[in-house]
Amino acid sequence: MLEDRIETLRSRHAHIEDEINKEISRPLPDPATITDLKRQKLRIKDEIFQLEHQH
Amino acid sequence: MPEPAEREAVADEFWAFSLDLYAHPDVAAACLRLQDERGLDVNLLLLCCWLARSGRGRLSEGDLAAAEARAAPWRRDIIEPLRAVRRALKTMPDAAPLYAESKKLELHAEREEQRVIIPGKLRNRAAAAGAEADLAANLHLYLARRGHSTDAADDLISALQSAS
Repeated sequence: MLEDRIETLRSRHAHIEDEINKEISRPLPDPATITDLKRQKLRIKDEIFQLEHQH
Repeated sequence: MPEPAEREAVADEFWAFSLDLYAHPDVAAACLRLQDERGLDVNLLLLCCWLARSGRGRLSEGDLAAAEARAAPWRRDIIEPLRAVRRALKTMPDAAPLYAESKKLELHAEREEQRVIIPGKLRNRAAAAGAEADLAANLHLYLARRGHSTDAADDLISALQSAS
């Protein structure tokens, strides 16, 4: 159950990473979008860390 | 002093770096040993590592003294009491939800401490070939300031090398 949740989060993390790379490679990347995506990525990383260090 | 948004981004970068590094069990164990056996601050250890590995080079005595001064009240008045509560909750029967909350709060406080210890002036350059030498120099500076032999960093440096 916990592993499933961590796996889901890892997949979302990878998806956001792709989104960031797509935004960066656009002709005129939007810094606000990139910042927002990076924040989302960090929140997921935080959650993964908390789940992995629950005990 | 950088703009607030820039400082926020730098703090996020430091936190993300710390989570990645701390995910390596050997690194986490070496940091905790330095914390529990020598009274060192894990966030200051991570700061030594992050500055070096992000290409921001070596801490000066002044930077480190300022970071220690800013870290001290967070550590003494917030994080250590929270840690004591969390450790007590861990031994209590039926306190698992509260234990999880206390852990989350402690982690949040660690992150806030990180924000205040980042030096005001940061160099911005690509990671240099000398990053590992800078990392050792930063750790040795911190250990020496706290009256420890530089050998005490050996386990952590070796764990960091395996983790990179």
